[in-house]
Amino acid sequence: MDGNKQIEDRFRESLESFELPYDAEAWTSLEKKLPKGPKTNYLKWGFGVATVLVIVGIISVLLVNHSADTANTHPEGKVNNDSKNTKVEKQSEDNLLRKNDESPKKIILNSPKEITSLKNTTEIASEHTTVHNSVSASDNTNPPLNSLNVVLSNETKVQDPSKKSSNIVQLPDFASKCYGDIFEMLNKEEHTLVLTSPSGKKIQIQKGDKLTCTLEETGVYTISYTDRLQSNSILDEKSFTVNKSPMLELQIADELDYETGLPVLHGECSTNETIVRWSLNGKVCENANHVKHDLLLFDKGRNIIEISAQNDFGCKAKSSRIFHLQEDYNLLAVNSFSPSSNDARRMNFMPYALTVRNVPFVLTVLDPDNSGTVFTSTDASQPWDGIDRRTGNLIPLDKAYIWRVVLSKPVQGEKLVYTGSIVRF
Amino acid sequence: MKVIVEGCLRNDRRSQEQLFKQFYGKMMVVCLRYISDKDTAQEVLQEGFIKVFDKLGVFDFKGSFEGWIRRIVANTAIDYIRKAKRSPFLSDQDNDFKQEGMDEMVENEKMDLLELKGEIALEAIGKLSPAYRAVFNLYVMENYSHKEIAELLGINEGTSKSNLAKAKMNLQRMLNEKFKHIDS
Repeated sequence: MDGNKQIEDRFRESLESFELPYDAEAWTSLEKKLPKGPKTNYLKWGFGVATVLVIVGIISVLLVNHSADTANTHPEGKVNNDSKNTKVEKQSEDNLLRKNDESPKKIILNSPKEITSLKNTTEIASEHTTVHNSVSASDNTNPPLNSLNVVLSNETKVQDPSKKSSNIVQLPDFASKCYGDIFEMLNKEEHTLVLTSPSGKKIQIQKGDKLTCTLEETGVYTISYTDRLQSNSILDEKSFTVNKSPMLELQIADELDYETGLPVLHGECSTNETIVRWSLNGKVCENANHVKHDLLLFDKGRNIIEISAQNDFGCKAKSSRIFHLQEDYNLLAVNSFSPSSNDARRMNFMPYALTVRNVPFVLTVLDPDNSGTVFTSTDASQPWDGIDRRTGNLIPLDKAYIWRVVLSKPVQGEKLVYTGSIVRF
Repeated sequence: MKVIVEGCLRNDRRSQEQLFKQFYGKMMVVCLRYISDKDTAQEVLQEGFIKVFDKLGVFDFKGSFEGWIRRIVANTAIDYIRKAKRSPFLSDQDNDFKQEGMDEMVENEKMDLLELKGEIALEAIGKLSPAYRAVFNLYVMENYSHKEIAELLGINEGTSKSNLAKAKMNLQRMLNEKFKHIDS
């Protein structure tokens, strides 16, 4: 059992020949994950399916186009399309749909009752989609698949404008907002929405459009529906207030301060609020409500420092900075020493942080070959002088020994155990 | 073996099962060397075998078939631990000098020492911290160099060497305790 090579060989030998008993359930589980059936060329199949779909699609479009052309050139249908008479128009649709008899939707035009239901459908649909708007009744180049939409648009158009304008639109109530909030609104109505900022800037939101904007002014915003058919008269108007948000600006030091033996990052914020909240890597720092705060950064890598505040309006603000730490905090220990050095700081070994921090600890130095304890200390003024306590001799040169420090009272966020290696040179 | 492999290439379930059955025991050990949780190791093993079945067509039978499978399974396990934790290989403090639980490994029965060795070795490796375990496995079991390990795990060579030394020290201590227990 002596020596590193023996350990390696021993593990290698024992594990290379070691085998666990077979578990039939493992196969059952694996089988479920395996592709079913004999291996096939999925790529080839994919192309095949895609080709068939494309061909079917083209044929469908050609067939439907042909039907639509026939319907649009039908004398009766043409006359009826131009007519303002709803009754005749219905007949035209009836003719059109009889020719395109593949679609089950077309059946709904066969009775007056069903036309009513179609009108309802039209109105509901117009609230939720812009597709109907884009289709023109006179546009014969549109694929007939859209002809239903064309009909629906016609249905809407033949409605009495006065009846349409009597449509009551109602805006919801808006809660107060904060400066910098994102405002979103989808216009589902026939009418135009207008958002007016406190300084008078107007943004129009057409039917079917969605407005997304940042509220960059404080004060009262108004939002209104205007009727485009009646000289932009206002149908409904609501307002909401945009309150100011807290002013926050975070500043952090460029480097850590190790004066106390701990990795301290000094932070300070400028704000008009009295209470701020500090957090480090998503964790709120306890008892840190003031404009100045010292953060302890132990871990290597990206550390995110964030402050946040909330004002009397309930508006919040955040500010953050990132601090990149090059290496983990390891009690500021050196990795080599020389008892014969003229420099007192390099003559013995004791992690520097333990000499300036008032923290109880146990330092142990171990021989990696046999785990034997070479040195222990609980007093920072009693560093290791390189003597192996088992033999009373100085340890050999260039051999790495393992050191380990266990703290009995680590500070918040700090780990309990530190380790490292130390070499005599 | 060629017959089984040819069956697997045809996606024949019986051949696939035979192949899986033949190598399950050894490959499960490979996974457990990297991942101490048995269920997770089982899943990684399955993922490894899916890759084996998928890549069988490129195996030319010139080298060791078992070695080829072992490398695929080991790489799958390494990929898993790399994805599972952001930087597991830099941490070298967790479970340092961990000994607890070792006494439970063999108790109350006289086991043949040779048979026992594999189980003890596997369990001891499982007790190492992920950082030590990964380096030990790659260096000792897969014969990677420290340079290769450093590149693979995103650490520097010094950390790899240091983690290996600490891993061996911990394993040595565990085995010392174990053999003392068995002797008594």
